[in-house]
Amino acid sequence: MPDLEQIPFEGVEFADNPEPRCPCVLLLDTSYSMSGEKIAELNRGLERFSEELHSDAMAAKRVEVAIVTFGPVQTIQHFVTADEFRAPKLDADVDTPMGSAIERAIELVEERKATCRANGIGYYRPWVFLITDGAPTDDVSLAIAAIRDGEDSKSFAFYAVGVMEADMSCLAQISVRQPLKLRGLSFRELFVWLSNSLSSVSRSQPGEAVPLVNPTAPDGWALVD
Amino acid sequence: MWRFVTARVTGTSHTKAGLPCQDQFYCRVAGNQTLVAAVADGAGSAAWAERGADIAVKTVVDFLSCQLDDGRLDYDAMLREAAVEARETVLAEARRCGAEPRDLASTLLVTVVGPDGGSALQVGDGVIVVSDGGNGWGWVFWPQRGGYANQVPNPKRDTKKFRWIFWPQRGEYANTTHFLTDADALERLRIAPRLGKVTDVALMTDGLESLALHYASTSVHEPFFHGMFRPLVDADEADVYENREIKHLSASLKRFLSSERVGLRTDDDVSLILASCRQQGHQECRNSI
Repeated sequence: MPDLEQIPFEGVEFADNPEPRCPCVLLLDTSYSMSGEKIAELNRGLERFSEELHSDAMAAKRVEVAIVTFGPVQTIQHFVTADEFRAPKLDADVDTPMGSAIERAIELVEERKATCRANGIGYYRPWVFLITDGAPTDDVSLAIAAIRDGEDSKSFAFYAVGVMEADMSCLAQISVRQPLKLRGLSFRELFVWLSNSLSSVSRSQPGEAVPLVNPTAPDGWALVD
Repeated sequence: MWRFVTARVTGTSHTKAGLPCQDQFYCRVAGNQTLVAAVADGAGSAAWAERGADIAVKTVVDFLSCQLDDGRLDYDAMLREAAVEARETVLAEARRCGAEPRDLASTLLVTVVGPDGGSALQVGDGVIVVSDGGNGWGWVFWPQRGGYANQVPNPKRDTKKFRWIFWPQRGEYANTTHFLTDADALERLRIAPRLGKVTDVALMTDGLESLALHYASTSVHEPFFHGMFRPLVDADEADVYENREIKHLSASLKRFLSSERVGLRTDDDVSLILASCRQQGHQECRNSI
């Protein structure tokens, strides 16, 4: 007769499974126009992003971050889970090859999904999150087509955020979802929101709508242009 | 003689969000010593998910029990009829409440196991795991049976005692799956006929999947099931209720599923039915069925 005070099932061993992943590519404009206060605030925002993700135990294991900067187009951070993510220090550089940067980001997302599939790891719909203060200096037609395809087939979700003098009408042509305009330089608020949103996605269950806080609410980080 | 334990626990994410436990289960031993068991996981976003899940499991188990009591043995046809019946009943409830079918969405996992084998049905994720008992707790060769939904060309599985019936059915992303209320649910439902000899069966919703399955190798994590079934098989016959449930073990199972050890691994609702027709000593399970 087993001792009723003990839990008879306590000794079972669990399968050691990797958590499902929630990939997010940050696509960050580091062109010359970003120099000065903008890039400084962006860097502070990234630090906050890292802190927020680290403070959520489940998100830290599930959210994966990669960073592509432009220009020139550079993958400065390949996908790492949030617990291993450290905020980089970005410097403003030259032009704004946004089109090729978007193509790179989409490639990264597709590669990541293939890697997850090959290893039997589940994943959530990836996010590509573009932040820019300018307009593309290269051809964006391929990138636009890739975003249309990707959104139609639910391969990823593409979000665009314009900073200060960003060309919002151009962003509206690129992004299927309505681009948002950053309120002033509230990068930190933006990244707190992004971290919370990714945390929500990463703990969502089958069939569950993911509740996201509206960033254009009066106290949000975004303005509708 | 079958004996079973059941438990469900509200996930911490549901508690935080003020949601009820949206899993439901139902288990019964019907005519001709046949086990009928069902679990359903209500969709997180559905307003009356737990109601839909409840109707689904009760309808299928009641329907199947009636058919078995009438002496039917064509499990596959019965399972399909039961799923149609459950879907109709859930849709009728939606109409009655002025709700959309989507508002009562749930997955559905059902198994019927009698003395001569069993069948199983599944819509959506979660998993049913069975064992043929074999020689005591040792490994057995699992016979090849080509052409069924449960066959995956992985020779390693043949050395294992516990096997899953359907790999959890998901959309591409980890938070998408299929539901009984989907327009195409009856085309998507999977039925595994002729499971062969089954001495142990476990049904669980997706909250427990990650503890019980190896995703990378698409195999069952055997030590989990050895640990889970042992108390059930070792329990005294005197502790088994008339309906064949071992209630004190069901209570223990609930405590275990609520424990921090499990909570650290999943924040979703979890529910589990474990049923076995081995007896203490469990060497002669074929005779015992």
